[in-house]
Amino acid sequence: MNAAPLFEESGQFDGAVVATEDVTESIRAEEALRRSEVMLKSIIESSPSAVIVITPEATIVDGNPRSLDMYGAVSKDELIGRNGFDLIVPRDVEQARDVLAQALATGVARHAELTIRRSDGTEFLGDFSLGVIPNASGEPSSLVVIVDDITERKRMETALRESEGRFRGVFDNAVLGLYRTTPDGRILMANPSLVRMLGYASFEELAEINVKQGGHADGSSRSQFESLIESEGEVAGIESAWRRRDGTTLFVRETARAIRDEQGQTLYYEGTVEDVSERTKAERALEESQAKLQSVFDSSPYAITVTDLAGTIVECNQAALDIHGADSKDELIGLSGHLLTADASLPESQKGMAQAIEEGIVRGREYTLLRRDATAFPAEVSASVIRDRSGRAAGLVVIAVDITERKEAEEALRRSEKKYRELYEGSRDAVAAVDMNGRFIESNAVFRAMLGYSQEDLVGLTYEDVTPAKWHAEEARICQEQVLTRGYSDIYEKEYIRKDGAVFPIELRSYLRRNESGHPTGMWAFIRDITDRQHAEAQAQEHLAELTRAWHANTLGEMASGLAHELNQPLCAILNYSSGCLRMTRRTDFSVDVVRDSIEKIVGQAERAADIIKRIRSLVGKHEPCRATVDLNAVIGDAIDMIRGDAERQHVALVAELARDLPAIRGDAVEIEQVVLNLARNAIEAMSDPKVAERRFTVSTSLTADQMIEVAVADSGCGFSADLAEKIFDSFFTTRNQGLGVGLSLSRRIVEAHGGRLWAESDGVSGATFRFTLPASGVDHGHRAPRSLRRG
Amino acid sequence: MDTERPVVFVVDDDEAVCQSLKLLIEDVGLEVRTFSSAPEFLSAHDPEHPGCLVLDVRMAGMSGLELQSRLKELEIEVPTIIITGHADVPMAVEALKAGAIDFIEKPFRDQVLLDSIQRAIERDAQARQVRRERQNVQARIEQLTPREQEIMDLLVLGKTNKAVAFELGISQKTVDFHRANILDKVGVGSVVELVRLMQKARNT
Repeated sequence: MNAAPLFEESGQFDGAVVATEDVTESIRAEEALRRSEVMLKSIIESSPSAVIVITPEATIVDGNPRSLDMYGAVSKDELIGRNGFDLIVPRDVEQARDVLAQALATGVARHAELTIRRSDGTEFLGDFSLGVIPNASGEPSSLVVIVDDITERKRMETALRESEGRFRGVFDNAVLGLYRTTPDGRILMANPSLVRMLGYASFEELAEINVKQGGHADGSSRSQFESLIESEGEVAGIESAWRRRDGTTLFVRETARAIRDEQGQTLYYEGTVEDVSERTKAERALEESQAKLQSVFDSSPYAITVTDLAGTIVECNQAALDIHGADSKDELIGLSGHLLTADASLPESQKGMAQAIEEGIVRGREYTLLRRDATAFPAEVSASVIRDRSGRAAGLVVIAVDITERKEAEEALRRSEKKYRELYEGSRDAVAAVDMNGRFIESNAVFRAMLGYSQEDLVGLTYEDVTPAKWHAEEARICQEQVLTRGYSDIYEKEYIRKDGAVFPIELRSYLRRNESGHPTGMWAFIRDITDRQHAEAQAQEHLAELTRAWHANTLGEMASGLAHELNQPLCAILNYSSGCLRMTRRTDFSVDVVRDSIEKIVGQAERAADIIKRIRSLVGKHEPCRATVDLNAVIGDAIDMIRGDAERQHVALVAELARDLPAIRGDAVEIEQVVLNLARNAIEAMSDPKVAERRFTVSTSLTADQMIEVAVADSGCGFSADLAEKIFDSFFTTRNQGLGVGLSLSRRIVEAHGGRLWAESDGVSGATFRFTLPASGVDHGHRAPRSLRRG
Repeated sequence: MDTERPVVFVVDDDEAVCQSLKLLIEDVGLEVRTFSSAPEFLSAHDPEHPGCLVLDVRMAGMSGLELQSRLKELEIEVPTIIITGHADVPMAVEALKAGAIDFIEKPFRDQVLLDSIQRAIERDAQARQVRRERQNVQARIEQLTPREQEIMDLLVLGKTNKAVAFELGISQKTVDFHRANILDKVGVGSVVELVRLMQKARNT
């Protein structure tokens, strides 16, 4: 039977393709094979190691769930098809290639350490083992790669190594001399301390001598030692005199034992040596200083430890126990000071110690120290050397203060300072400070930008240097009467001079600066540039003036348009109410009350409309023009003044060609001005089309042969065709967007009421000219010069 | 869903016009609220409330056009019908540019205004529907992981799975996997639907 298991992507058994043959034996064999395969598969699937199958070219063809976890993949698809080398960090790829080559050559490669980059970019160290799966002909067909994440293991190894190194350090740096010697006098081992004690440069140098022949200062010592240790197996605390390299004598106390083989034959002696001469002196010196310093020592709030020159703690006070979290002196004494120093601070602290020994004292060093529970804290450390009577360095007094709180306070202060600095620098207002002489001592960026000065520029400048002279007296008064007397000023306005000489308005408030004892030291001020505000104020005033002008210049057309709007309101309401009523009454179920109410409102609105009409009549129809002597040129001048703003906005050139020596007329100056204004506005409007290239408005006056004064208002717009020349005077004819076209017809009525005529001329191309005539007054033929245009 | 009935907001400083419009519009079964000034409307208006605005142009204080630009500043979208007793072309152009959907000159035939109001309310409902859908789609898209968004952006551009896989340096199967998740999270059946949804969310 051929049974091919069908696995889903997840690896679950899904079904089998079965082909039956009568081969009992082979069935059994295949059954066994299948079982072992299923077992193998389940082992691989649940393996704590990542198992990946790759081609000899390192393309990944399969991976177990652990491999996905390890790589951080969501599905197998993220791994399958990728080149295995792509998952290795670039620096390890070379090595990875070697490992693969080795596996392909020998069939296996074990425990290669390669770093893998996960899908999220993090890295981990993997232990790689590779095994080749050969095909039928023995060629490598694929490889099984087993990967374990050994990041943690490596980390522990490293930690262990460091720890071992530290203990070795203690051992090497121990004050005790350590040695192994053979019965025949050869030195097998001596620690650096012993080498140093004996004055040799290195162990190798020391190892050249034979203890039996040249080790002791007197010949008997060694034989005494030998007979004692051979009989007792050990010696404890015997004192003897050894010879240094330079021939001087070293008094030592030694403790040793004999190491023997199984037959009881002595292999070597192992012992520790204490330099008695040195210690005695140091102890004596220490006792003396201790006696003096005992009380200080015990009650000092500072942690005080006394160490020997190698850094081993020989004494400490209560504060030292507290600072390091130790319960008793036993926990610290005998310990190397290095063990209480954080690794990061070790190089510095060792340098500091060396410097203290060299120079006698170091102060105020900041190191990170350790408590017994290995937690760290910042400390300020001072160390001074202890000398023996002969003035030689014997040890160190180390004073440490836990500065955790101080650090935190500093940090808090720094943060607070930063905050205020940011507020100051980031302020929208300019801020500046001056001394009592008015010299700038500080300013923020806004202030400097406002004045265009750099920080260097401001050095030596006073606030009066940047203030126009006309403000000096006033400002001095404010300083005297407000700042110096009550500590601050009201907000006041003055001006500053920019570096480029430009003067601009500001407002500011000044405050008195005092030092800690309350003595005035200067002033500081918040300053705001109010150019924009003043500008806005000026603009608002201009606008108001314009409105006033516009009100004066309210033309008939605009008035009519306003009235039409007013009339439209009741008409609109009437129409809405009546439409609503019609709609309601089309239904059978309408409310008579609502309809009656609406009709009442219709009546009300109709009355309102009638009122408006009456008002129009009273304004236009029943107006009795007053007749007076009028200087037409002056009226035209006034009208031109009123439209000058409009003309400038529309870029229209105003030209007035007013005849001198015009006779006066009889009429209503206001009405005639309205006519001129109306014609002038029409003319400007006619040129508002962007296509009109040259915008020119000409108003001229002349005296005709028949003693009429003719006023011509000409524009350079598009004009109109001849057939419109009369039509434009019809009521409600308009080509304009504003107004209802009553302007021209009213104008004509006014002119005709004055005994004149109003007509229009245009060739339909180069603009239009409106002309009106008014009869000259027969009474007054005064020779008056035309009023000149104020700003013409 | 907007559970509230649409309201026709009438802003006109003429009491008679306001009241007559209320009568007319209420007659076709719509709710009407009247305001005698633009600021009064602004302070009372709840943008969440569906409906449309019937606005007089010439009013004392804030004009209708000013109210329109104020609404625009406040990002309040309400279909606006301008009514005016002072028809003038530049003003109409300005009002329409500012988003008014109609411009009617007073006095007017009732049916003209009522038709316009009907259109405005429909338009408002559609706009609200679109906004809701857009928010909905936006909310669903925000559920996607950054990787999924990245893949979605490429798919919406019309790229094939293969192209996406190539561009992002991942396998096609992974793209398939992500794509299934994206369609599932966004709640559409195909990339074509996704594209349509995204266009809706982005272009309207």
